Amino acid sequence: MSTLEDISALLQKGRANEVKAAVEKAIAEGLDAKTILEEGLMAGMGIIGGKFKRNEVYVPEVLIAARAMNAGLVPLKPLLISSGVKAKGIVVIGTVKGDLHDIGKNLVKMMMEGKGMLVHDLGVDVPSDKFVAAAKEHHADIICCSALLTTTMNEMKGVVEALKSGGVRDKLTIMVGGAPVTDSFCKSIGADVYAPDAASAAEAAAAICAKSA
Amino acid sequence: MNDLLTIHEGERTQSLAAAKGKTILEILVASGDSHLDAPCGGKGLCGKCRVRASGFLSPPDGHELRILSDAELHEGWRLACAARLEGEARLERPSHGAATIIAEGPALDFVPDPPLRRLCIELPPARLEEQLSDEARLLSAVEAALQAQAAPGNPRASVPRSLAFPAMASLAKAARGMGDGAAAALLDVVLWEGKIMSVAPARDARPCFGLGVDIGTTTVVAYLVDLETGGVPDRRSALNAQRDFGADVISRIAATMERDGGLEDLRSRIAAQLSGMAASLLDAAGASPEDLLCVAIAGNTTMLHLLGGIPPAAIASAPFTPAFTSRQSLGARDLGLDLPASCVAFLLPGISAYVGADIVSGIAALGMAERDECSLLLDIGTNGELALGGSCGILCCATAAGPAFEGAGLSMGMGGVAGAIDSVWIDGGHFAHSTIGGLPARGLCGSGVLDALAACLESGLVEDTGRIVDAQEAAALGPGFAALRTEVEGSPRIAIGGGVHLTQADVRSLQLAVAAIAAGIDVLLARAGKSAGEVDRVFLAGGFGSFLDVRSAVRAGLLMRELESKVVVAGNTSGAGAVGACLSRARLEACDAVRGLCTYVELSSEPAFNDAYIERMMFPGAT
Ligand code: B12
Ligand code: FES
Repeated sequence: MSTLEDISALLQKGRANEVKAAVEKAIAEGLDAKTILEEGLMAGMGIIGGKFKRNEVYVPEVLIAARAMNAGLVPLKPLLISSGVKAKGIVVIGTVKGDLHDIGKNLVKMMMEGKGMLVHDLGVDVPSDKFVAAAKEHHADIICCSALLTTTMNEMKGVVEALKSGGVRDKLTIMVGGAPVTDSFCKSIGADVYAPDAASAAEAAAAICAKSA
Repeated sequence: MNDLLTIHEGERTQSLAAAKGKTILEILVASGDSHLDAPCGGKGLCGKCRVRASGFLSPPDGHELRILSDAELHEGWRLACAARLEGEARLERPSHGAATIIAEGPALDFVPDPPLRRLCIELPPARLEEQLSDEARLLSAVEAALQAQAAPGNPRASVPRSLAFPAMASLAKAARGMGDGAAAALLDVVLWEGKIMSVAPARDARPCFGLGVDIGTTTVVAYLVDLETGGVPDRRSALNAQRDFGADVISRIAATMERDGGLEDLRSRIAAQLSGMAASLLDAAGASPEDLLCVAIAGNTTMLHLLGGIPPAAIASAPFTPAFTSRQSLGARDLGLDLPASCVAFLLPGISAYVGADIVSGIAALGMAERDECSLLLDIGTNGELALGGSCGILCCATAAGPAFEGAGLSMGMGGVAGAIDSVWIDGGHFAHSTIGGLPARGLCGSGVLDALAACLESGLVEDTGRIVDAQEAAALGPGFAALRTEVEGSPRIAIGGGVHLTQADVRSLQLAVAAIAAGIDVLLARAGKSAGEVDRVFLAGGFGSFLDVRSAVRAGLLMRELESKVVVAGNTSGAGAVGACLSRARLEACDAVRGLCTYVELSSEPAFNDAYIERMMFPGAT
């Protein structure tokens, strides 16, 4: 098995320390940072994502895989920066005001990072003006809103309105999700993209950024 | 030759004559009052017919040795379908949960001392030289009567100092009921906290009732309480009349926010439902509305807001703020209940938006706050409330498990009605099941879901990560189990029996629900600085808690193994607390004391919860 395949396989098993060691080995072998990231770490996360979508693995496996990915990024990050590898896109994510559920949102964040996105996480109970401010500050391509309560999902409409009145609505894509959210709800509030799970969300985000790039 | 089997069930004992060689199950069935589940039909396979028995019985057979642990055998547990009578024996039947016990009217372990009581008073005639009002004469007559009643050991009623104004007119009339007012009048008066609530001409042998109510999001139960004997002669239960506004509290709250008049709709539904239950109970008891002195109501915080017509919107989003959680005492009519003006209603106290009066009432009913030992109360419904502690303090939280255990959200989940699989067990390389009413299987109710999950884990068809094994792995488990694994559009599922199955997505939903409860327990234990082994008792409250199989709950990771032997099925503890509050001032005040003793743990802002939650999504491995 090549070192890149090793990285992917170890990441899928969630072996954080071994992933880190394998990344270091790949660097020593002279592989370039972008290749290690895309064909090692991101390839592994992609496979985990597919399995998650098909319900073959679940939240705990995704979390430990993401932890392993982060361990692998430690030695890689300086090289990525110095070789000028840019993120595939910039995402601002948060759970809307009045809602404190964050497990699903965190998964979306990890999967997006696994697709090479730069994700700014605003946490939970995020008022709409904070989404707007963060969108402007980070020049976000995508705004992601998560809601788990049938009462708080209406806050998403407020975020869409606030992005409009903040004058950034047309510069970015608004994605919404969370258990009670549906595609038709997404359309009804004027948001752009709905995804039922974290892996689909990350794929959609990657597709959006690939198009606009 | 006949021998005797003596049955002990709670306070009751009963002796059955029976022939040697018969199994306990056969004897009970022959007596026509088995009360015992025997889902496998007495084949010694399901283990659901467990009883505690001692005396001259056959030694444990192969089935018993296989199903019962050494500790259980040591404690006298037997399978009723296997243990045979060889002489005189004694049987302890598991009690059937407080709901049924309460209905049978057991001696509750406190002296009835109802907050509202009725006295028959002789009101002396007015005398010209005294110039005393009817009110003044009545108050001193009542004081004298109470003093005469006072005896050591009898809780003292507080002496009334005033008369409720609405009762004034009836007093004026009743005081002269005999004609010119020259003779003494016999009056029935109702007392509450130093106040005379009502006055009426005395009638012979009038009963005095209270109503203990539990308003659940799903079901509403009302118990008729005899305030003199302390018995509970009758009860009514029904699905909550607000159900068509949504199954969970958030949907109900959303219904009050979405349109004008929504709150009033929900309020009047539940008020009408309670009034109807009260009327039906009084009617059946041959009593008149005036014989109902008080109503004590437990329920979650949202249910009490809706009954009171108090806008609940702030409960539905962070920071989850209820308008009130303290105990409310008010006229039943002020709650819109169709009851006499003198009837007093108590809304029992709660703790927070999501740990309500139902939990406080349950803690009070179980006497948790009065014991030094460490008890854990689990009320596993859509909302999954937990309380842990004892007289030194109680921690509580709400874990939002979701409705999977109520049959909702699963591909073939259903409520506990006829045709629902309620029990699943492994019978030598195959799954076997029983259904409610013995009808063809239509789906899985809560206890069936948990059993099915446990059987899937135990058979190896589902591994501890929650993944359904692939076809190759299934084949290694033997032909019986392998045949249960099928695929629909590439997605695996397990046939439970009778055309009912558990899909991979179902298992994932169950992981979320099971882990929420287990992680809630973890967080409370950690906060209390205790290990699971240090818990002395686990009370399972609510419908699901009464029917679940404890071994399946442990196998599926809902309960830690250390808790298994501590489980007490407690039934409708919320209702039991409401009954207690009607019957005894001390029990009513105990609810307030419980409220003071409880500390609410907010899981949303508890990082330890998320860690525990993820960890508990993994099912426990095989032992
Ligand atoms: C865990 C949980 C909690 C935890 C939250 C921990 C945390 N930090 O997040 C705690 C216990 C704190 C909690 C609290 C509450 N909860 Co809660 N909770 C749940 C539970 C059990 C699981 C939610 C979850 O994490 N799912 C797992 C994740 C991975 O799935 P997910 O969030 O859906 O995310 C996936 C997708 O939706 C998508 N996605 C998510 N976000 C986004 C965003 C975008 C942009 C996209 C594209 C996709 C996407 O990707 C994710 C991965 O695939 C559910 C019930 C259930 N069984 O589902 C109730 C549930 C959501 N909770 C509920 C409620 C009501 C509450 C409370 C308000 C009240 C309560 N106690 O019951 C409280 C809040 C107050 C309090 N007491 O703390 C209700 C909501 C009901 C309704 N009609 O809205 C539920 C459904 C339970 C129920 N039926 O009663 N809860
Ligand atoms: S009835 Fe006894 S084991 Fe099933």
